[in-house]
Amino acid sequence: MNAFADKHQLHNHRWYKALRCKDKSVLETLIAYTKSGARAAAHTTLETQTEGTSIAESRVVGQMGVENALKSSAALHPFVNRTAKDALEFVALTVRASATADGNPVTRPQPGAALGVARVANAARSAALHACGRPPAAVRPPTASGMGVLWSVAAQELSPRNEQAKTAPGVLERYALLAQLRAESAVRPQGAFRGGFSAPAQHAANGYERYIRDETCRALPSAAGGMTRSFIGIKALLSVHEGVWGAAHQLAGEAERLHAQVAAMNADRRETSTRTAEVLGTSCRPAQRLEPLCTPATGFAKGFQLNELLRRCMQTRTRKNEPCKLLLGVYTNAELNREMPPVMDTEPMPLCTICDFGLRVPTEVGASDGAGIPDHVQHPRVQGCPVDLSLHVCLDGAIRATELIGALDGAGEIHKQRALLYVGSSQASFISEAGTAISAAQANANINSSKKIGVRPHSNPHSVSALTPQPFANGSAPT
Amino acid sequence: MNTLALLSIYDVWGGGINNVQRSFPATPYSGAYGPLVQHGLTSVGLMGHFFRSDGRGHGSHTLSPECADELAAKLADEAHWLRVGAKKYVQAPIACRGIPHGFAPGVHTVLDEYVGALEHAYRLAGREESPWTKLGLFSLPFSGVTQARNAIEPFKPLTR
Repeated sequence: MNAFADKHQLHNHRWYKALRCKDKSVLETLIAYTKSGARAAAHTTLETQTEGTSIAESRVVGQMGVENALKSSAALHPFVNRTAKDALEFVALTVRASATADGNPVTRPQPGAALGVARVANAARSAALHACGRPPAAVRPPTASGMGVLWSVAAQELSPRNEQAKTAPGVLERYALLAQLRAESAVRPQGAFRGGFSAPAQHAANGYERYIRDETCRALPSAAGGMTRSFIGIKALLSVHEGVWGAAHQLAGEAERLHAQVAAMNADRRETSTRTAEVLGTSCRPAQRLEPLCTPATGFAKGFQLNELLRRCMQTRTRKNEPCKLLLGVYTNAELNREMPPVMDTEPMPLCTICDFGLRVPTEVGASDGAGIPDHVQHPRVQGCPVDLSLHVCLDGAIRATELIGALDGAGEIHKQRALLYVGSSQASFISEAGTAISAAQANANINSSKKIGVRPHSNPHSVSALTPQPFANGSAPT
Repeated sequence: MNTLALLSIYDVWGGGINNVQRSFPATPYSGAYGPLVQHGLTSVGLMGHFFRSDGRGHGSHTLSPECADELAAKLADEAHWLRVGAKKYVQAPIACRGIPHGFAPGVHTVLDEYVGALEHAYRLAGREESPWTKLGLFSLPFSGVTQARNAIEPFKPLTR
């Protein structure tokens, strides 16, 4: 079934045929590009279906068909309507030598230009800085597992005011400069009337602190501030389709061209009023880019979709007058009719909610030309690519259950260890079972109904790629 | 049309969450509790409705009169009223008088070992439970173990 990854052309062929058959108006009621087209398709469909009767002349029935077609067209619009503003944009920034307190000459950025990627316009942007600590060694995942954990200790949300700060906040750089000033002032001769910053350093430090105050919210302890976060790093192996490499090389070429342009501007010697990152130029060429085929969906993509489904599935649900599955014994009507709060709030899901993630491909992987897939490999032409996956999860002080159980070793707490094992296994089974049931039910509902918007089929119901929705109409469309 | 995520204990993480609303209001058990532990007596149901819905005929139990009588008698005898001190009693929350939707850690005694284990393990790890969060066990929605490079390379033994 994974061959769906390379049946893109087959689907296109079926679509080509379907859009030219005599019943094409049915499809057009679902995927019309304009409202007038949807209306016309609805009228045509009704006339075809009620041929030989006078039903098509009914204004009420006709209006219902038109409304449904318009709703479908409007629902599809966000999926397929992408403007040039939504395309990824490269940003070239200056890098100052003093912008880091890291003394390592290997990792320390050299003066010059660096490239970054801007966030999509109009996307939710609530960036925050997290001060993190590592868990004690006893409860860290073993090195051989390829996992790492960080605990967020304090968080500070960015609230950029000016346009420059929205693209290049420069807050971290100023924190690094402040740390550098403090390190330098620590070696100054101390005395009754000496110490602290020198006058020029004090002036600079005041400027940095003022900027940080202006461009950020107040830093708060993570848990107390309502932003419980832990960061889990996993060395993973993702299946990457051959087409993704082509798209990546195109992006790399665009980035290299931008870097060459910026290098010609002598970024390292550029005279500027700011000592931190400054935007030198941008590049966004959506017309030249390729849309990668992100199928077959990876295990992580499936998991991320389950994450989104499970995260929302209990919202606004209440157990009205049903405090338990089967009520036994004596109770009063007052107890039974007591207003029940929403289930989601009182009974949180045992889901380690992923609120953000990052993927980093090692440099040596991206350096080779092409996907490196041998010619004899048949379709689908995919290859496992080692990546560093970082998960931002909404847990305060995350410790893997196996390490929690291990922490109780030697304490003579065999019953407690067993309790953690049983409950942990139960919660894993719950998420596994509930998640697949929810996603499978949606897939079944979409397939069984001819008027639903679905996504292209995969080998299993929740293997829909979270990255590239490919909408089409189920039922009357070829699946 | 179904593939299990095949999650295991290796995909489960302990940690604290916040913004949990109060359960069992207007009872002595009023407070914020971690995620329920399902007893597995009912299936998931279509769209997971058995976990999040009520009296619509799905996910409900039907007991024989004899079994219901026996359970009700046990409940009245052991769980409906709880002794507080020598002369006082307190009524159990109505959600605990029968077969619950799920066991609440900190309320149902069957999970006392689990609650104690979480607190003890975090204490040993040098981290007390924060007053702003509730501890619990939470599962990732995908398997980090099977995604890890070491785990899926054939013939390579796992370390744990």
